[in-house]
Amino acid sequence: MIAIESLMKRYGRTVAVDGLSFTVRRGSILGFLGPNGAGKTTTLRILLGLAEPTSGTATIDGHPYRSLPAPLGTVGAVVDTSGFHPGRRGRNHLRVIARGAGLPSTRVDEVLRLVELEGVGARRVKTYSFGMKQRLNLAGALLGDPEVLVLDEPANGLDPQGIRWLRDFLRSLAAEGRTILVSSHVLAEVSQTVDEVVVIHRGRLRANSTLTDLTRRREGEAVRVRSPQAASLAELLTVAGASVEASDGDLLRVGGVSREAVGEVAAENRVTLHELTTEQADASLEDVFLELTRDESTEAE
Amino acid sequence: MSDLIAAEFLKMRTTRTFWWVAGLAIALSLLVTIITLATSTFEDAGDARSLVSNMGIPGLLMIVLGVVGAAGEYRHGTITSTFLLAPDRRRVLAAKAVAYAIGGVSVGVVSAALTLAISAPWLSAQGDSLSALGLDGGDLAEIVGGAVAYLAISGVLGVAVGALVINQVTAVVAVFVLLFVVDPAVAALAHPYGKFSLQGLGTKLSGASGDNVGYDLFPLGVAALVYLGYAVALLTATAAVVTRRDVT
Repeated sequence: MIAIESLMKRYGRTVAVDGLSFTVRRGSILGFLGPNGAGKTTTLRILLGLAEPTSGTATIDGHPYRSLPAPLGTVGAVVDTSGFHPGRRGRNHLRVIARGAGLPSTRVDEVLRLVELEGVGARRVKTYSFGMKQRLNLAGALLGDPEVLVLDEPANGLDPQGIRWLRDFLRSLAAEGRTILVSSHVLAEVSQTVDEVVVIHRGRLRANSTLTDLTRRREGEAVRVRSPQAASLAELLTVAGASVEASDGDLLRVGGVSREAVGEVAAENRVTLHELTTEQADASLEDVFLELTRDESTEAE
Repeated sequence: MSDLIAAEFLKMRTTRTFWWVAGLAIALSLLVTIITLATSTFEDAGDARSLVSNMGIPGLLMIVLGVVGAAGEYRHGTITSTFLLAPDRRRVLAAKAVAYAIGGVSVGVVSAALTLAISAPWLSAQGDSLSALGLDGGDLAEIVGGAVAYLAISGVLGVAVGALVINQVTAVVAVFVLLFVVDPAVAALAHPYGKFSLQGLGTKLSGASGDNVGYDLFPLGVAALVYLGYAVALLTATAAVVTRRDVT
């Protein structure tokens, strides 16, 4: 389990992380979200022992990273988009890490296969595309076959195919029961992959819940109704206490009542329905994210 | 610890920088040896000594190699994966220092072997030899040993400077300014300091006679210990800084 407790990091007068607390349960995928500069990278660097917190703790299975007996076998991390000597061959980059961690060199070829780079391991890293470098980074994180993965913006800069590949890859890793903490400033990149989200903003926690709870709490349950008698249904629902938003012709967007309640009202009044669905959560997730982090972006400009 | 040292060796071997700089350093010592052979007359042990001491020329470039190796990890960002696999940064620094010391020994052995392999036949073609000039086996062993130690310790010193300064260019420039401006200037102005200077230590360790430096030099063993003392002291200070410094 990953536990961040009352974490605080100051750089001079700037507070990068401000009393942040959250946990990542074993076997879950947590999306760590926030706009650029929200303090995500700083938090992850502290978690990985690369930076010292001003106060508070960040632990993995109860230990700070620096006191893990076999760090690479416990946690795999991707924290840089660079992190390679351009003149070193991809396979050699991994061999260096494996050697230092006392892992067998057979692991190097295994992880190269895993990230589908086996054909280019002999090439110098400077000839790699951005996506290939990101995969090489992932390969490095997987060398020790760790149970926990910490990935900082792994999708950053990837093309759509790369993002799709990454999503599938993370899913397969999660299916193996690994705990994954993945940060992003683009909600769409992780919304289909994660179980839970932590949203931070200016170093502070803004939300910590499952994806569905997040949208439900913010939006209530929005119900999409299509009916040839839309106008009269709108009236009936308004009387029943719902907020109704009429769009083109026969479509209504109803808030404040459940889908079932809308159905009941329609049935009681013999109103024909052509569609009755709960609004897709993903559509409003972006809005929730923007709302949670809005004042940051405007103040920051 | 042995895993970390092996990893440092692998880092060294898997980039071209090490091979280029080490090759350049050895080539330079050979070039100077050949120029010395071609242009000098050899009359006594001092002449033979200054010829053979060319094997210590790679010393400066060993410092540069150490600097580039240590600061390069920050430049390319590989320091992140290094510290992730070995969160105890003092061990990383120690492993790197050991690796570059051994690298220095290797370069020193090659440089010594090639210097002698060129000098001996060249001299004998002129009907001369090192021993005839008054440089016996013991002297030679001392010069080789001193030069190898000089290169090894230079590698350690370079690692300490590189890991402390982090910025590759700044670190290399700092080394050059120290070695070619500050250190000789202080040694020239304050002769009692001369034997403690990097120039004085380097002269002694590489086996040159030191007759024309203008100040007294330490005996070889003491010179090696003083130079090693500098390297270890700086490495210790660097370790304290590196352990506290955030990697960004």
